[in-house]
Parts: sequence; C-alpha cells; structure tokens
Amino acid sequence: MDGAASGGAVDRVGLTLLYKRLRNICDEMAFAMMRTAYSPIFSEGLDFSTLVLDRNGRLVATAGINPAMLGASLYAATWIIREVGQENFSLGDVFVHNDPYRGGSHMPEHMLVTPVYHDGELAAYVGNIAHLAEIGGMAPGSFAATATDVFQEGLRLPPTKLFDRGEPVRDVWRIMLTNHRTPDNTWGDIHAMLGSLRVGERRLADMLSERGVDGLNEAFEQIIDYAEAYMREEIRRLPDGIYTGEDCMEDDGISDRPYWIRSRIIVDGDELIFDYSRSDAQAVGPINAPYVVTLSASLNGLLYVLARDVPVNAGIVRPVRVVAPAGTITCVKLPGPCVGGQTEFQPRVMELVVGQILSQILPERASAASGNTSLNFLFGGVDPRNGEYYAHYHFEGMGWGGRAESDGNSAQIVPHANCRNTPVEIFETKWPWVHENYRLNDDSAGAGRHRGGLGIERILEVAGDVITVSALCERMKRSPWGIFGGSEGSRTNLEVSPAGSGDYRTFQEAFGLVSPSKFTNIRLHRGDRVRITSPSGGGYGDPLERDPYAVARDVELGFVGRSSARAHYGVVIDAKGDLDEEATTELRGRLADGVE
Amino acid sequence: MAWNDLAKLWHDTTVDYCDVCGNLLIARFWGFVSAATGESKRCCDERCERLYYRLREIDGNAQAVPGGISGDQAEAKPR
Amino acid sequence: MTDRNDGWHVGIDTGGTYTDLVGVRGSEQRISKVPSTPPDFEKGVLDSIEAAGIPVSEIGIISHGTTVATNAVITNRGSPTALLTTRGFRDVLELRRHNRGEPYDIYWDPPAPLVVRRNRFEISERLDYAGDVITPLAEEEVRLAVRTAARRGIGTFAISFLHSYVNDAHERRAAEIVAEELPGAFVSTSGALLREPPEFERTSTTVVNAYLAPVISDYLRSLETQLRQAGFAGRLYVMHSGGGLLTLESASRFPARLLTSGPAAGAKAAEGVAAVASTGAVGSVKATEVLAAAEGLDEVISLDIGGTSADIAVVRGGKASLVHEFSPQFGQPVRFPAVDLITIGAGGGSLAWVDAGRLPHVGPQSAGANPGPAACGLGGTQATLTDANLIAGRLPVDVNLAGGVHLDIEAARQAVGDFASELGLAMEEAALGIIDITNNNMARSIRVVTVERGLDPRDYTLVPFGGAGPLMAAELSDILGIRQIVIPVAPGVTSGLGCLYVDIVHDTSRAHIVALSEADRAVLQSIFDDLAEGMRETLADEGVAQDRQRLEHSIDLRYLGQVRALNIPLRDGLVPERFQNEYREAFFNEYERQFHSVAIDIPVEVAALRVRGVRVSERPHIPFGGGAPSFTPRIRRVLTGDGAVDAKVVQRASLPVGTSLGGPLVLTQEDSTTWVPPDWQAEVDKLGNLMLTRGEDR
Ligand SMILES: [Zn+2]
Repeated sequence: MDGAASGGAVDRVGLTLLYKRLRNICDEMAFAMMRTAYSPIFSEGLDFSTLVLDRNGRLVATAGINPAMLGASLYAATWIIREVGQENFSLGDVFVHNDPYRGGSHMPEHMLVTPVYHDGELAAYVGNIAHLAEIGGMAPGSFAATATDVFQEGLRLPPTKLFDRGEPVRDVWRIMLTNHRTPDNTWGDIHAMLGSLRVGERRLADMLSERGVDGLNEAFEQIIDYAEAYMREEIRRLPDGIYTGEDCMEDDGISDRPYWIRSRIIVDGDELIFDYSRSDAQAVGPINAPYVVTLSASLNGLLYVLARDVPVNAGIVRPVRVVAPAGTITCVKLPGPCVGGQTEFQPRVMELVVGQILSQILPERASAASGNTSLNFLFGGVDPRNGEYYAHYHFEGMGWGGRAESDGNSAQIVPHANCRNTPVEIFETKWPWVHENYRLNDDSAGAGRHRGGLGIERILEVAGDVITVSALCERMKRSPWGIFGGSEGSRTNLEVSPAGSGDYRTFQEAFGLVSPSKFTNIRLHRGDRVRITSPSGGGYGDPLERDPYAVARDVELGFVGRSSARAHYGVVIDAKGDLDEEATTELRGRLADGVE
Repeated sequence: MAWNDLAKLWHDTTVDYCDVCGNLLIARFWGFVSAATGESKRCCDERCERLYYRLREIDGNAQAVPGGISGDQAEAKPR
Repeated sequence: MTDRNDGWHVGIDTGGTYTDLVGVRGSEQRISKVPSTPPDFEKGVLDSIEAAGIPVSEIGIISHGTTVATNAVITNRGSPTALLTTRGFRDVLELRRHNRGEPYDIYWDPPAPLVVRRNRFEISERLDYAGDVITPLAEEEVRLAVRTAARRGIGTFAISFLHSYVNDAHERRAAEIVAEELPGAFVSTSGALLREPPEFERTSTTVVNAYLAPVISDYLRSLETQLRQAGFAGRLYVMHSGGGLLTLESASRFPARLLTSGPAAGAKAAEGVAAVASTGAVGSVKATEVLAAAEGLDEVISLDIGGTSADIAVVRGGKASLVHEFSPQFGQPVRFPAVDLITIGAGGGSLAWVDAGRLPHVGPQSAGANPGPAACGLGGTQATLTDANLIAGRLPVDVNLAGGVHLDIEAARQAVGDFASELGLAMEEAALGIIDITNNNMARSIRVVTVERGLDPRDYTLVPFGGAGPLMAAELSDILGIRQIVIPVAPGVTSGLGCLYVDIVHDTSRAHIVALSEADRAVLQSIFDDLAEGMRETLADEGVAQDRQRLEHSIDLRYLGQVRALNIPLRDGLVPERFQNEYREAFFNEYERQFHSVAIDIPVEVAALRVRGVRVSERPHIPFGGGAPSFTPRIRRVLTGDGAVDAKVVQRASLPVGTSLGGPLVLTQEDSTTWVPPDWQAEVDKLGNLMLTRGEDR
C-alpha cells in the first residue's frame, strides 16, 4: 500500500483529482470519436478505446468503453515505442498499428498513437484503438472464419507512420485504402480517430503547462502505483491456493474438434499467476489468441469479480503474471490466424475465470455462463440502391447467466465487451436487408433458482441481388453451462431459408460446411432468409427452489413455456394462467424424489 | 543471467516470444540457463526467470497441492 | 390573452422537498418556500401562493416547473400502457441497445420496461427504409389489440412502427382506430413525437410519453381546477425539459417533455440572472433586448446544489445549451430537447467514505434528509459535506436551518474524526479533503458540459444557488479557473425565479437526407416554409400574438457517410442563393470548434431541417430589499487549504448596494450561506446580486 500512501493527505486527495482529470480527457477523446465516426461500428457500436500513456508508453488512464481492448491498451503502445525507438519520434508523428504479433488483439483493431511534447521535450503519448469495419483479406468484413494463416485475415501493419511531422505519409495511406474493401469508411473513421487524438493532445498540454514534463510523469507514476496497491490489496484478500478450470472452443472452422483451454490460477499472497501452459496447441483456424488477448481475458475476469473501481492502468498488471506459452491456443505463433481470438476466445477465458474458478472462492459473486459469443456475422456486396460496395461487421446480444441474487439479463452484449447493437432502422437504411423480426428467444433460458437471460432471434431477408455472408461464432455445439444445480442455456443457431421456401436449415447442412458456426463467403440471393439465434444464459441454483410465483410470471410474460414450467421448475399453471400452489408442491416433491 | 540485444535487420519483421510467459520480446531479452534442465531460456526480464522457478517449485509440490481448491498455503512469496 | 402587466407573474417550482415561489408585479415582489406535498403536489403549489400572500385572483400568469413527471417514472407510478408495434418487434424496449450501464459490473440490471410484455401487441404492417409499404396495416389486428388491452383495464396506448419517421400513415391510422374502439383513450404515436431513427430511442420516448400522460393530465387538471376555484383567472403554463413553456393542453399531450422540468427551471434562472445583472436593467426588459445588450455575462455555468444532488447546466450566448436526449435511467432514453443538465450525487448530505485502495471519496451516496448529516442529530453517524463545512467554520453554528434543524458541531466532529482516522489524517485535514473532493467531483461534471462541447470554463461566470451552491462556489471556481461568480438575491428560491424567465417554445423538424452539393434550394425553402407555417399555427393556437412570435431555423449537417450530424443555427428561414457555400462554411467552423478537427475533403450531407417557435417573454427581476446603513461583523475562524484564517461573519441582507468587501468572509442569509475565501472580493451590485471576483494575484 505504501506506493500511494507515502504522499500524505494533500497528495492523496490530489491523486484522486488528477486521475479524474485524466479519465475526463479519455472521455472527451471518446466523445469526439463517436460524434465524428463514419461506420455504425464506431457511432452506434462504440467499439473503441481511448488512452493516455506516460512517456514510456505505459497506460495511465483509459475510457471504459470496450474492456476487450484492455490487453492491447496495456502493451501495444509500449511495443511500438520500443520497436521504433523513442528517439525516432517527432512532433506531429502519428503511428498506426494493427499487428496481433506486436501487441494487437486482432487485425481489424487499429491503434493510433501520437507523442505529446512540452517545450520540445517528449512528455507523454495519447492513443486510441478502434475496430475498422473492413480491412481486406479473404472475406468481406475481414472476419475470415476459415483462414488458416494471418495473411488471409487482411492487411497487417507493423508500427507504421501515418503522419510524419504533421504531414500525411501518402504512400502508406494509399496502401491501406487500396487494400480495404470500403476505403471511404476507412478514410472517415481514421479521421475520427485522428480528431480524438487531437482532443487528447490539447487537454494534456494544459496539464503539462501546470506541472511540467517531470511533474506530470511523477504523478502518472503515483497513479500507476496506486492501481497496483489497490489490486494487491484485493488479491491479498483471496485465500492462497491453486484453482483449476477448463473450457473449450468447440471447433476452429477447419476441423471438427474442440480446442481445450486449461487454466490454473495460483493465488500467492498479494500476487496471482494465471497459468495456461496446459492448454492445447494452437489451432489451424482463427480461434487462437495473441498473448494480449489471454492477458486481457484474465484481467477482465479479475476486475469483474474483485476490483470494479480500480483505476485501469499499467499498475493493475504488476501483481499479476499470465503464462501463455507461444504455440498454444493461448498465445498464437506467426503465421497462425487469430481474428476470432479477440471475440470468441477472450470471453470464454474471462468467464472461465469468473464462473468456474472464482466461484470456488467467492460463490456469492459467481454467475452461470452467458451466451458467450460475439456472434460475428459479416456481409458485403454491391448495394443496388446506389451501386456502391458496402461491408458490415455485425454482432449480437445474448442471454447472460443467472446470478446469486437475480436472473441473468436478456439481450446483452458479450461480457468482455460493452458495444451497442446496430438498430434495425439504421441497418436497413445502410444495407440491403429487410428484417422479419428481432425479438427475445422465448423459452430458451437455462432453468435455475435464478434463470438465465434470454437470447435473441433475428430473421432477415436479402434485398440485394447477391450478398456474400460469413460467420464466426461459438456455442453451437456446447451449451452455456449452469452453476450450483442450474441448467444449461440454449445454443447459438445460424440458419438459412432459400427464397420462397419456409424451411430453415443450418448453413452447415445447406452448404455442406465443416463447421456450423464458422464459415466464409457464402453467396445468398434476393429473397433468401437468414435466422440468427443467439444463446441464452445458464441457470444459477436448483430450479425447484425458484419462487413459483416468479415462474408463473415468466409464463404469463412468455419467457418460459407452460410445459417447461412443469418439467424444469415443477410449477403447475392452471387454465386461467394462475399458479396452482397445491399441484406445484406435490409435483416439486415428486421431482425432488426423482419420481417424474 | 544477463541482458542480450535482440538485434534485427530493418527488413526482418519477424517476432520472438518469451520462453516463460509467452509475451513478446522486442529489442532485448533476459537470458538464463535453467538450473534444473540445463536449457538456455530467453525471457522478458528477471521477473520471468523467477516466475520460471516458482512454477517449477509449485509443480514439484503438486502432490501437496491437488487440483481444485487447495486451501491455505503458507509459502514464501516469489518476489 | 392576459398581459402579465395586468397582474402578478408568478413562477412556482415544485421540487421533491420544497416548492419555491417568486412573484412579481411591477415593482412589487414576493417570494415563498414551503414543503412539497407528494403525492398531491398541487396542494404545495396553492400553499406557496398563500405563503407569499398573493391573492390568487390577481395573478395574470403562472409559470410552473414540476417534478411530477420525474417522480412518476422513478417510482413506476405512471399509467398502465399498451404498446402497438410492427409484427416481429414487440421486444424492442427489452432488447435496448445491448450495452450495460456499468462495463465492469455483472450485477448491473437494466430498467424494467414501462410496458410489460403481454401488453405489447404486434400488428401486421411494414414499411421499408424509404417509407414505402411492404405490408399494409392490418386494421382488424389493431381493433383486436385495443379490445384486449381494454379488457385488461388499459386506456393508454403508445404506437411505434418501424420507419415511421419517414412515413407515419400507419401509425396515424392505427391511432384513429384506437379512438374509434375506445373513445377517450390516450394515444401517443411515435411519428408525431419524433421524426428520426432509431427504433429503440423513438419507442422508448413514445412509451414514456404515453405512460405519463394520464398522471400529468390529471395533475394539471386538478391543479387548474383548484386554482380556478380559488379565483385564478389568468393563464397557467408548464415548464418543459428544454426550458420552454407549454400550455396545459400541450403538456398533457407531450408529458415526456416535462421530465427535467424542475432542473431546467434552475438553468433558466441562471440565464436570466446573468442577462439582467449584466445590463443592470431594473424591471422588465424584453428578453431579446437583454440578450442583445448583454456583454460578457452571457456565458454562464448554472449550479444548483441541494441536499443530495447538484444540477449543472451551461448558458451560452445567453441561452441554456440543449441536448436532444435525456435518460431518467441508463437504457431509458427520452429524445426530446432538454437543457443539457448533469445531475450528480453531490450535495450537503453526500457521504464521505474510503475505498479498498484507501483513497477517500465523497458521494454519490447521500444521507438524504433522514438520517441526514451527523450534525443534524437525526441519527446520522457518517461524515457528510455539511459536517465538513461546519468543521471548516463555513456554516453558522448558531443558526437554524430550514426545517428548524440546529447544527451540532460535536456530532460533526465525531463523524469526520472517524473518517479522518481511517485515512490517518487530522480531523481538520479530513474536513478540508471532503470539501476539496466534492468540489472536484463537481468540477469534473462541469468539464463534461463545457470542455466536451469544446467550451472553456474559464470564459464563464458561475451562477450558484440552492442551499449549498454559494458555499462551494468560490473554491470550485479556483479549480476551474473561473474568475467571476454572480449569486442571486434569493438563492433558495432561484428555481422559482427561473420559471419566470421562460419563453413558450416548440420544436419541429423533418429528416431530409441529400448531399449538400445536390440539395435543391427550392426544396429546402419549401420544407422550411412548411415547418414554419405549422409552427405559426401552433403558436397561434396557444394565443401567442404575432409580435410575440419568433421562429429559429437550423439545419443538421454531417460529412457524407457520417452517422451523427451537427445542428447549425441559421440567421433566418430564407435559404440564401449561395446556401451551399454558406452552410458548408458554418458546418466546418462548428466542426473545428467542437472536435478540433480540420475540415476533411469529403462532401457534406444534409440530414434534417428544424424550426423552433418561441413566444418571447419579458424578464422580471426581484428587487433587492436594500440593506441597513451599517453593520457590525463578528469574527470566526475558518479553515482553508492555506491554513486557518479569521473571517468576518455578516448578514447578507445588511449590506447596502454598492458595498465591496474582501474575503475571508462568511455571508449569511435565511436559507443559504456564502463563503468568500481570502483571495476573493464580494460586491453587492445594483440589483442586490452578489458579485464575487477573484483577486488579480491569482
Ligand atoms: Zn516473459
């Protein structure tokens, strides 16, 4: 604790204030990005993060927009600076970087970073990370679920100057814009990112004129120390020991086999080791994680359960070690593909940490499994309405797991992210699809004392001549698990119905695919329909212990079917729709005895 | 047990990984020879070397520390 | 229409705890502050008039700000409502936008939808993105839904169909059917409220509107009836969230517009105080003239600090800034223009606490009125901002607070002492820490409504009011670099005063998406003309005379392909010949100002045209009572960051106009206390407002 404690009263209050100011800068940067964005991924989805970094590139503060980017936020800038060499930065330089082998999470996420100077002296950096909707590669939307190496996933950029002393490096811009399928979007969204950097730079300049370069960096150090002390204190409260757990990715899009993630958490005083070295070797397909994604998952899991209010910066990682040997699914080696690691592997590991392992330590804070897939659905084509090429990266909300005190929430985005959906009206205005419905998927949640939240169902019809679709998701073979006697939630489904037919078959059946959940470049035609069903959450606790009136209410609202109420909860609803208490008591007795 | 340069030609864009934790090695690495196996290791820094031995120590005690909840372990901190 | 010169013009603001009244007639002025009377808030309104000693029959205009709408939403006491949606989309409310209010809190819960699922009816009908019919409206399904809902005792309907922002014919027809089936039912259609996507925000707005309608119209009807029975013969207006006035009829149709009616009154008060103070005008000056004449003082931050929360708003160019959306809770948006307010949990009752990393925090939890600050002796034991201020010597120990509470400094010392020992600090250091942290929490919120909009708080004057505003204002200003503060004559009833400073305002808009370079001048002109004509009718319906009407035109522009647009105010409703150049330039300037981004080489697109209609009000002023010819200050020890100082304690009312005093100074009045730190100078201006300025040496 002494890092933060040594300064005394004024310093402690001052520290709170300084940190609030830095967070405010990050918020302002995020606001500028959202307001000036081109793609709905930015403006509606909010799939980005904004960062203030010290003069060595260490994270000092970030806007809490998308936790999935935490690992990259902690390391990518440091790696850029180390590789480029601090002495090679100049005022007005902006670097771009999306290399998952150099601290990035996956290639669509681009980091921009720019140095901030004060009286000619390098003082700090500001940066942001954002998901560009299209970066080329083998499939529109740049989420190639059947990629077998990173070169199929789009244009890879090591740390590269986008601006040199304030002047655009045109050759680099032209390479990027030539290789992306929707260059106008790239142009606009990168400008939104640049504007956001400018906001951060200006606000940091104010702080620098107040404190000077050394003064500000000393304060940064204190904020980082404070976060470290906070985390150590939280970790110290956990009983020492080794906690193990495992879960898997159901397939990699290339072959029909699971890939296992085996995790040990070693709690050792005020330090904590996440050891993934017993996990499977890396997959052929793109479900592998770069190191920072495994780190992000581990830390996010910890933050969810332990230290929700800790300032998120370089300090939180100091008492934590993540062991993810290169060549395993937890740390992909070049040239392994990895675009799905960020969206599918990360939430799986995060939930492994939260659900299976920490539930052993703090059961009152545990929850059952969420749907736990980003449910990436990608599409592109030429819009018949204006003749222009478009591409979009779509993700879907799902049910979350039942919790100790309450049911899981319905229709929430995957746990490691906090993005928003793209509304139907925006969707249909931007791209040639028409929705038949968009609703909660009834009677699907894992039963439990507290049931899971419901997933969603979305049916959309192709309104262009041809649309090329791809998908990369999980939970089509393995259900979200229940906890403490709760039942499994329902699975993801991706189905297609040819024009004029009412029959839905999975894409796998309809097109003879290896994987039902991971495929690329399926061509659909006008009138074809797609049904996307997102998973629902697992249940928490014995369903027979659920308040029968809560079950009756679920039946009334349509969340739980009558027959499920009977079969899973032992609750009998009479003809008028009211709870039959007597019959329920009797049925529950028989179910508990295993009679029915 | 020393810092080494990880010099690369400017046109070599490959990357290297820490033998202990898996994180990226850039510009330099910390090298040591495992006292247990005689292998030479390239890692992030001294902390990773200590982590290497700490994990071996824990695995050596695996009998005493079965999977799942293992209860209190009053052991020395790895710092 | 009754002219306000014929009688009293009375502003009444009903808050959760108190109802404030300010009445003006010519040079006469009355104020009162009485307890609010939930759930029958109208009683408090009549009480306030009685307490002010104003004969009801002599009142010309009542302008009323009210918390009734906010209360109904927060306590789920609206009317059972049915929602008609496009088939396949009844869950829009429950699907929300998929994101969470707290990214690292798996225990976070979204607000329960205001319409339970079984009362959300799907109707076969569908339009495409351009508003063309894919599936015609199934009228029989609408009839069936209405009958089913009616059987369940529902008489309130929200109708929200997909893409109705381009074409609301189906919604309008469905509304007719509801009226046929169930005469007297309240119906709210989304296209009539809001002509913009997306569906969740529009549906949420429509549902909130319907849900509130019976509550609000009952309240307003009852209030009007009681006033009439008491002899009231004037006009009654209600304040909306955007800081305008609505007739009772409009308020009953658009009750969702009343959600931040009360705090909006505060912001309008700051606007008015600033405008009047700056010109030195006494009595009523036409608002437009005040605004035009105001120099330097039309950039104002309004800060209303009560017991549990603080409302912050920005006045720019003499006008309170507006936003297009307000959410009573995360995930429950209401898309009506609202004064750009931030409400934070920082007030006299805010609790001080220590986190796991042993850093101190204040709020947002509050001791509220019960148990209240430790010093109030009602059972509170945890340190609050009020306790800290008492220990710091900034609150009078020997004075009764509103409600007859006497402050107990020993209890405050005990509570702050406990907090201090957790941090290993001396009690006095801890008290200053609590004050400092609160000021910085407020500073952060003030930055959110200034710097995030590209505004520099140092260019602003702070107008603090509410019980604790004048106490915190100077040191808060030090943090923000604000150099000037204007404290109104009666800080405790300033929200009531704000109700007097309000124009009747209506907004209308139409989505029109076209590249600016391809926009047709005649088309734009005809849209503006249509909107303006409709607006003039609306104003005329409310009996607004021609010379009282003002129309404000604006256009929403964005870069081609961008999702969000910027609202660009225009001089008038005439589309100039070179409109493409002029609009583009105005857009670039605003873009650069807000986002520090240079204009990029991408075409600009028109998104929507807007017309706002205003009934211009006059701005009355509370005359200042005067002040005694002489005063004798007492001396008290006050803690500051630079050590303890001896401050003069003076009754504010005893200071004559023109008095100028340097800090340290504690100015007391009935329901508020002003702290003037050593580097600040206080001056009573011609109007009795207290002008605080920071010394040159800072
Ligand atoms: Zn390492």
